[in-house]
Amino acid sequence: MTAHLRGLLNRIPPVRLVGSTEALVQRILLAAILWGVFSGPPLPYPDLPEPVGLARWSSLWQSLGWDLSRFSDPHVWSTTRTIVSITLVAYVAGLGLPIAVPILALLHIGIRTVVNSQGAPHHGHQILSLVLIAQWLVLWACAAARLIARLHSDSPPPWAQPKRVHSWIWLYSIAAAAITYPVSVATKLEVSRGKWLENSHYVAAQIVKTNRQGYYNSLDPSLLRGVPLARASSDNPAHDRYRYPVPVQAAWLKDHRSLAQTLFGIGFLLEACAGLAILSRWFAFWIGLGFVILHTSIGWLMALYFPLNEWIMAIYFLNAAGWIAAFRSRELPRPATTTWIAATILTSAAFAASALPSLSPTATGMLRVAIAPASSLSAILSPVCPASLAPLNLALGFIFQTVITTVAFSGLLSAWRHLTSRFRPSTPAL
Amino acid sequence: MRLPNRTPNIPRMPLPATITPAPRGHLWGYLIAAGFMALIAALSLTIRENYPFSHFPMYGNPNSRPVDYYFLTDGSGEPLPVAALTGETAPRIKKRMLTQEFKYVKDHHLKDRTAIPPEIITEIRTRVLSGFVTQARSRGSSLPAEIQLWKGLIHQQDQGYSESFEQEAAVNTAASPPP
Repeated sequence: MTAHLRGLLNRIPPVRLVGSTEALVQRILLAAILWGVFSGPPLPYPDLPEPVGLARWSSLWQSLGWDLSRFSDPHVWSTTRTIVSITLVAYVAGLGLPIAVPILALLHIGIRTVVNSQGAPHHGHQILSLVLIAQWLVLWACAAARLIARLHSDSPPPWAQPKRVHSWIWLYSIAAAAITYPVSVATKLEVSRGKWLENSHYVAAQIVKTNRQGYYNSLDPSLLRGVPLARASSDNPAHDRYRYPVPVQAAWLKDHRSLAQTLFGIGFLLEACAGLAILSRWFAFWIGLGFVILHTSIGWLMALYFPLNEWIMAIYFLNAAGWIAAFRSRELPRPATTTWIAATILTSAAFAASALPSLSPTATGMLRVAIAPASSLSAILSPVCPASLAPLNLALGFIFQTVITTVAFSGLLSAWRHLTSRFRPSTPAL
Repeated sequence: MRLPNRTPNIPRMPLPATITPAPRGHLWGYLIAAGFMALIAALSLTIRENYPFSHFPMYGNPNSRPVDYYFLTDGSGEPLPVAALTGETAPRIKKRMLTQEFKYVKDHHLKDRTAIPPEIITEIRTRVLSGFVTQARSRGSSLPAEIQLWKGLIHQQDQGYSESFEQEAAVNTAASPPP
């Protein structure tokens, strides 16, 4: 048993060395997300009725002469945006990262604490704050080790060498993002008393709810398509004007209980195993691809979107720049030309089909899931990409999707070869 | 005396095909990352809804009970676009009410939300609705004379989905205090 465990542990590769170009791409993309977060108007919350997190320490803030609700002040917001702009330039350039990252982390935590202190907690931004905290800790740990070494006129430990910092930032960003999912699994098991999987088919009713909420946000009639509601004898006819059709997918999942439980079970398993993403680039890739598809599917089914989760997965888990760097340096075997061609044809077909105007909502939804990585990259870049450069943004999304498809094909092909070689009958020795 | 020249019949222990070396030093990097993840998980599950931590309770307990959601209408019952009007999404109506109800339960040492007196429930709902009206006014949104808060209940049964509705609160926008 111990030998088997040792064997498994030894198969875990060393933490890969992230090159400066790959790290630059990751920083550019994260900076684009942060710029998008801070590019809106001032927060519309002049007070903090239900303080959470840092907002609970009101006496501390008062003693510092600050109040988190001041982010709603247009002048403070303007200053904040100026600070963020300068800090983001430094962050992208890789200058003064141990100072730039804490500033970005604190400002992001600050504004989202204000939003979550309104009595309606939102769960879309924790992942970004945690990634920034992870990067902050890595940068300070490495800087502290180098400083201590310098004070002792010694060379810094190998792990704190500047060339390793990008690797730790990559690994700990993945760790911080991944762990949010097992936390959700633990909560599901706690509040459902272990019956989440057994009762998961009832999530279908939540699909109706989120579609209704989506409709009442904007009164978008496209969210009212579907099958008619059943009519209970006790229903008040005066309320018929609110009895809209039910989304087809919700009706279908209700009628196929076992399949619904299987589908939700796959998502549950993916969430539970998310922590394995730190083990290798392949683990990160497949888990990240799984989450991008999961979130896009949830968006399609439930009109419930977690864009930051998808984008963080695209940057650090899918990490197209990292794969290209590994292929170029021959760190990994390059995919065959036929694999690239097949991936390009498939991506082109998916892009072309998604532009067709006469598609059914189901086909549109499935295509949206298929090109989810491309959509994620284009969405990340859209706040920093002027409208005139929209075709370039689309092209970058296409390239990203092609790389991801190629890597996925390569992974599947090598897994297939590995399996067939294992089960091939051995040739008797001559 | 001469011993018989025979190999004793001792059963042989199987030997491993390869000798497995001890885990390499690089695993420390993963161990510390795993420890970091464990720390975030422990903090999230302990301190719960305290940004940037959360225990992510959404959709945590699917069950056969009806699912509720809330929406706003004008005085004649015509639906209003919540996001355009208030700058908030419709789910936040329910979240704000739940936060206030849980606070009441905690402050008054009640068993759960079902123990809250009906008049307090109405008061909480009216207060939340007034908060949204204040927010809409501060955004410069054009408001109808009356805004109503409605609850929709989705029932998932074998024969299909059905929905029932109740009006929960109403606020006269002309009479409510300015922000």
